[in-house]
Amino acid sequence: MHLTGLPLATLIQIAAGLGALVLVSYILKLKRRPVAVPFSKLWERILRDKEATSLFSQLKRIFSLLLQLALLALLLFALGDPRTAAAVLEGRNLVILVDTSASMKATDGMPTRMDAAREEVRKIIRGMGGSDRALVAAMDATVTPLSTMTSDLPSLEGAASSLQASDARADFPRALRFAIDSLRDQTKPEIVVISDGRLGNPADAWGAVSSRTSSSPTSRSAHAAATPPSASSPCAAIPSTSPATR
Amino acid sequence: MGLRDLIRRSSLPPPSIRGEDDLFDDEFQRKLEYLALVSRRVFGGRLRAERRTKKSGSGIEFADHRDYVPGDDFRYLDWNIYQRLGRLLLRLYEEEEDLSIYVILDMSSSMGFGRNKKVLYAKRMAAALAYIGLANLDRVTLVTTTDHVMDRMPATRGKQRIFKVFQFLRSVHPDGTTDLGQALKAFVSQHKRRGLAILLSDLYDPEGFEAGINVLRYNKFEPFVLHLLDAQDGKPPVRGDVRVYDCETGEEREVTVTSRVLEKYREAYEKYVDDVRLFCTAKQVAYVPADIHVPFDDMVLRVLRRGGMVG
Repeated sequence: MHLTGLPLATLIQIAAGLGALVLVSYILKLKRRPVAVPFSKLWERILRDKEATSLFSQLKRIFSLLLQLALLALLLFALGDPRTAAAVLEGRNLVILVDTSASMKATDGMPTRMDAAREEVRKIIRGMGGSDRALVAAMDATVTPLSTMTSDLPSLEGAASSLQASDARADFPRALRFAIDSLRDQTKPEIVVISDGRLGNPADAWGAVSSRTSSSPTSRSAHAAATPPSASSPCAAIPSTSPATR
Repeated sequence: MGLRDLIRRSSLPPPSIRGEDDLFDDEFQRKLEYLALVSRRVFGGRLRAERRTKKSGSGIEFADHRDYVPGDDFRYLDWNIYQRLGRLLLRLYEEEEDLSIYVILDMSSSMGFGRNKKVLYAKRMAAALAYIGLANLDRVTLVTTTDHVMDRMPATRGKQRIFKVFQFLRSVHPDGTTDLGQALKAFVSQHKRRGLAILLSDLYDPEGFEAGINVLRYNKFEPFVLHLLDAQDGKPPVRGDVRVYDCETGEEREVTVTSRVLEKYREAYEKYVDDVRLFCTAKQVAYVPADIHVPFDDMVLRVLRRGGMVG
């Protein structure tokens, strides 16, 4: 059983707070409102008859407290959103590297390759699951992350919109290193490269870029041109089967 | 004195708020005059100096004979009887005297319960009855009680003294616990002259309402019970879990008030009122339930008709 909602520590804190509130209100309720009467002997006569039912009324009070606590427990249980281990799907962690090199300014796209790349990014974002998280980064001579690693779709969409092509060439190996570092120790890591294909080999002066972690990110690339990648570009979508970066 | 008493005393509103400023206004005084006239018409011929008592003495109305015993006044010997029967018999006459009216006002805290409505009504009733008595040249004494005799206005006569009565009534305020038995014991010991004792009270006496009335009966007073009733007392606006406390004794009871409990309370209240009425009927004590929502002048007339107060 896993809690996919609020974490256990938070739930315990809420339970302590609300539980104390319920108990305080119960104790305050026990402290009855004083009401002046002209002649208490008249009430005494009624109370003599009511003695028999006082046990029931006390039980009723305790039951009411227990019911309130039970409702509180159910509420917290719901906030915890418990799932069985099998039912819990771990989300992916994506780093979307978008090529913003000068070649992306070419107008053979819709109308530019950059626009096509933005559209690709949006498609990927819209296709994310509820527990998936993504980071959008612009890749030119440097690597500029445009968002944090988040599942917040509006901020990711905003990052996609802010993508602009520069006049520099793309430093693919550096971008890959950045992506690998970002995904280190993350579950289901995935790197998506969106480019027009003019990236060259993922190697630099330090050698070929590869993941050295146990949970190596898979990678795939999307082609940003308007025409089918096979026709316009040598760099088609790379199948994401290997644990190593391709 | 408990904290609650202290708060209650300090929170006693000024006379203007208590509704005592216009307690005995011109309108009220006009009504008193009217009531005095009506009482005279209704009970005409039974006024001052014509009220006969059981006491035999020096009046002019023949009452009875009794055997002569040494020491009796020779002047009252019936010589005609002696001539015919040869027995020495004494003529007895009915003593004629003015009536003493004692207006006994319960001034316990319960009388001030519910915005002083009962006590204001009782004060007006007391003033009206005192005025009728004064107008009929009876000796009127006002006494206020709680668990003891609180205040006393000495016997007075003549309707011009009504302002003294007003002054006295304005000066007294409900405060204290009820114990009519003890208070009236003190009252009878202070007032040797017997007479009509009009008791204005809600009779919320933890020791039992009977005790006070019995003290008056046993001491040859003529008790007249004006039982002040506020319908609100039978229908308290209370719901839910509450702690009811007696406004006099501070005695507390925890109770969960439901409609069923309220119904039972109403029954208990009605039974209590019924018990008082039955007791008074059984003991031949004049009893008038005085609902404070009935105009006081109507109530005074009801009292006059019921009890022959001035007759």
